[in-house]
Amino acid sequence: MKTDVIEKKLGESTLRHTERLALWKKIKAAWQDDGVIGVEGLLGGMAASLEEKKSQICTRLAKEVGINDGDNQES
Amino acid sequence: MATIKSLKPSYFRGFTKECPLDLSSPVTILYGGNAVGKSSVLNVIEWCLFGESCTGRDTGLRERVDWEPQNRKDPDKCKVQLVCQFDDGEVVFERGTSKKRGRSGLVIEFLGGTRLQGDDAELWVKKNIGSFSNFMATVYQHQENIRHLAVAQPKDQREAISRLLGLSDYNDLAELIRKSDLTRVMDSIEKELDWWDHLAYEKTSALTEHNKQIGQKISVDPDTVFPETVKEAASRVLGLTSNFTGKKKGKWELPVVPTSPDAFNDFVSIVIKCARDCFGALPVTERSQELNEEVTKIEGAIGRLRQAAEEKGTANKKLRDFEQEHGTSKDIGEVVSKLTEKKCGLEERLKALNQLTAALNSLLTYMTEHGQGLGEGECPACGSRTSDQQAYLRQRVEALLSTEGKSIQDELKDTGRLEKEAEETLRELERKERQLETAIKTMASAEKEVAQNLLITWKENEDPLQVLKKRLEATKSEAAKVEEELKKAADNLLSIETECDRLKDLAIIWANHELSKRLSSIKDGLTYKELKSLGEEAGQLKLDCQAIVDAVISARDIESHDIVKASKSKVREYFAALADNPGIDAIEMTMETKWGSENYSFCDSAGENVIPILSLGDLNSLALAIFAGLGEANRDALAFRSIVFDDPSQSMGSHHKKKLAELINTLAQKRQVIVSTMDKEFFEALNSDITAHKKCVTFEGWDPELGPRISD
Repeated sequence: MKTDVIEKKLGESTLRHTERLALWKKIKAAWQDDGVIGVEGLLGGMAASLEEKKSQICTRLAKEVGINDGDNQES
Repeated sequence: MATIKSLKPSYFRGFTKECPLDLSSPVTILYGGNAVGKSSVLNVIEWCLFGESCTGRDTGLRERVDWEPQNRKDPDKCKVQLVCQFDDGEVVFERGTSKKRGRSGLVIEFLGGTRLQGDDAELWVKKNIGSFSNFMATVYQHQENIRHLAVAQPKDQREAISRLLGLSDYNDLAELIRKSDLTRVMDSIEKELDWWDHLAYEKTSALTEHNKQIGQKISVDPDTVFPETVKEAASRVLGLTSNFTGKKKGKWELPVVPTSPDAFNDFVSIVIKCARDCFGALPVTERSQELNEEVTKIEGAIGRLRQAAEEKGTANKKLRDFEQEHGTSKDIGEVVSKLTEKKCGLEERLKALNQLTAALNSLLTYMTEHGQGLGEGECPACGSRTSDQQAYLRQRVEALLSTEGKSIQDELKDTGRLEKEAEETLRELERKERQLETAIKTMASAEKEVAQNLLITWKENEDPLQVLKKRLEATKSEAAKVEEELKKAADNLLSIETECDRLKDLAIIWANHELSKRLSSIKDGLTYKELKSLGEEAGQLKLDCQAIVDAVISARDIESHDIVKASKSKVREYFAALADNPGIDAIEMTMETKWGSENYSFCDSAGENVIPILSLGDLNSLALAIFAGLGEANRDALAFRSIVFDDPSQSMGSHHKKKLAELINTLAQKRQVIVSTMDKEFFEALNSDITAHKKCVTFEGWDPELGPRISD
């Protein structure tokens, strides 16, 4: 895999190229170390972290507003 | 890059006993008829490396649906071993169906004895060799796949060619990022934001409706309910309760008015409990209970005494009535005595009569025995003059017995009966006397017991029943007064409870007002902004992922362009060598990217697509040219240096076969080649044209017990 080409392309991004390169380096490392499982684990972990953050914020929001936290889970 | 050194199937497919096979030559030709085990040898390689992945519908191979690796003779003994030479040493792969070998059944042993098994071994294969489909596109040219490569749908063709180019990593990685959980989570955050946005409106409407309903219930305009309103109502409740419990200061501690609407449920519960406890402990409550108990006791006592008096009266009346009819016990006793005396007299008389008749009978017997008194003379008993003394005497005895004797006996019998009747009457009288006595005792006992229970001392000549009736009247009168007081207290308690219910409803209206306010200002809050910011962060991440996917696809296209460019001459050359079709001057493989996917086309020098005009043999030739040409150009990216052809000469004429043998000879200069064929002509071409060191393995037949018969 020509990772240098990928990095060059990402470096050319007009937006967030530093963040994109950093994310790519993580994906590349996971791919090289553990292949599909590694990338699934990395992205799955990021997703889980976002999910957890979302869940915590929503719990706090529900508490602040004073509604049952379970209500929004139904949505 | 790895090469295949040897393999050893055992109870695998058509193999029964263990059958080692050396494949280390640069070229190995497996030759034999149909169904003798050639393909099974090739299957060993793929099943050993990929296990379940090379079976089933997902392989895209028709023959793999319901495909069984194990020999049915003894399925549990199914085992295969594959030895490969990697750059850093020999690696032994072993797979069996036995569960003892780990969950996946694969064991890998490296030079030096290091071993991997189960999921670890499968992961090693995935990382170092790749997937089964990768292997099928780059190493193992399965007969079913040959034509597929040339005529498959663009998507399948793309995938196969990408793998052949060693570009599947790009596709796999791009697909992984596209389908990752991140996308789902990002969507769920957006959905969450939408939910909170809609919540304010929907929930506020619901709260307003709820307040309206409560307002109707308690006759209050909800818009006039403010915190102060609720607190004032709470103070009123406290005032009422305090008045109610006032007499017992200190004991009934009342809560303070809450400052939050949510705390009013607890407040009301405490107040109601306090009021109810206080009500339960009021003096009138206790006195009312005492009086009610007293009334019950007196009524019980009256009932008891009444019953005893009735029983006594009944017994007395029965006795008096009896005495009136039969006389007193003295009278009856005298009657009994007289009758007894009379009976004794009668018995004496009877006894005397019996003695007299006995004496006369003795006399009569004597006279009869001695022949005396047979004629006229004086009766020796009474001295009367008779014509026949014996007859007279006999007559007298009989007369005595039949008249006087009978009369005495009859009278005695009557007297005895009368005496018995009199005695029975006397006994009956005595029974009645005893019954009266018992009733009197019962009465006395009841009076004593009532006196003890009610703490009363009976005065002389006092009627206990009258005493009790007076006492009952007094107790009832007091109870009525106490009951009135109690009712007032109960009314007070009820009004406290009613006020409490109203207070709860007011607090709900207040709480709903508060919640509505909070909902209306939800978007101004920091937490909502935090969620919004998380949504933006997720959105950025989504764009970042898309940018990475675009970069990966872009890199893939650049690389595939390079490879296609580098290999198109080889594909053209191999196709020309294999097909030798006069209608096609040259073949040009080109690639263009559309909608993020690369598409391959095969045209002649005029730019026309040649696929529709190719014969079956030419299509095979094209597929083999692509397979060999791309593999040649890209061989550094491949995990295996080996290339496996399974029956590649299908639908080919003699000329094509000869050309294919020459092509394989060319490939064998750079790659290890394993060819399986049943085609004698092709086998002979291979034998004559291949200059590299080659090994021919002939499959002479197959035996159900012994498996394939093989000779080197």
